[in-house]
Amino acid sequence: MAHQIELRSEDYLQYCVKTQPSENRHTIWSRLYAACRRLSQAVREDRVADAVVEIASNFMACEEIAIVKCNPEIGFLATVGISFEQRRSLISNSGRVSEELRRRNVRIVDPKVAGDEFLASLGITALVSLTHDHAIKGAIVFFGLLPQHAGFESGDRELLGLFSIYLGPCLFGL
Amino acid sequence: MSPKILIVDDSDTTLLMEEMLLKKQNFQVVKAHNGREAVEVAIRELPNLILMDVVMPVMDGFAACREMRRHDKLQSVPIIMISSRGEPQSIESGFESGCNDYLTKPIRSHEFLQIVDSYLAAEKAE
Repeated sequence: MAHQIELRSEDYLQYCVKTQPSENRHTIWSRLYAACRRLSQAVREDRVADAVVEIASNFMACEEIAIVKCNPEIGFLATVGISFEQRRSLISNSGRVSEELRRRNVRIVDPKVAGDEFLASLGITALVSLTHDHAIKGAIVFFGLLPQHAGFESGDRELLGLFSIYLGPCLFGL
Repeated sequence: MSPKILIVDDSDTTLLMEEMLLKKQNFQVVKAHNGREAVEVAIRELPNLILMDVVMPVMDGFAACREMRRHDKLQSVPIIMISSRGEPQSIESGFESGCNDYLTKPIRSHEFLQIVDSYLAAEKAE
């Protein structure tokens, strides 16, 4: 898995070479390159959860994150910056959160969008389902962003997509 | 000889991105993972520019900046703080510690390289 992710990082590096730094895509490719390199390193060190938190904090301006397993009850694999109330709300809403995970692999929550009200009410800003062997095993739950950031950027969705593809097997399959 | 840039961050993720961006522009890159290590590397390597995170273990970026400004050979080296802490008081603390500029994370390729080029051009002109 580490090698697979590293090969992906090489692809992103090539995209960076072919794109001008002045283009927005260059920033996205650069972040994806670094995130893949970091994740492949983390897989080798068996510290994937730490790497996810680090990537999200540095590239997505989010420092309130929970990485959870869904059995279907929610259990915490790693958290950073989340409050007791946020933990409690996830646990007490395990069933509903698990249902929401089945709707889409990557979810950026918009309180103005119909269907996102429940997640928004919990203070969740993004949700990534983590699958392995065709089953949802867990999720990465993002809460508040740092104050100087209004919301997730377009490139963040791609980073979340990366998490969705690789982290299920990394966290639940190895 | 191409300019030498010291990048300082406890996050390998950020160091990976910064190193890639700088090396693609043919800069020499040296690294440190905390403020204490940054001071040691800066004294040894005498970089042309320092890009430093703020929140780090062992010694934070502000303390490292103040320490560097106490050294004769580092007094005029441009130091740019790069931090997720973008609140006015944090930025003010950065300038009070002796930095030349402040960038907020998440960094963007163009903005990052522009600020690097501007400070290296200014240093070359002196």
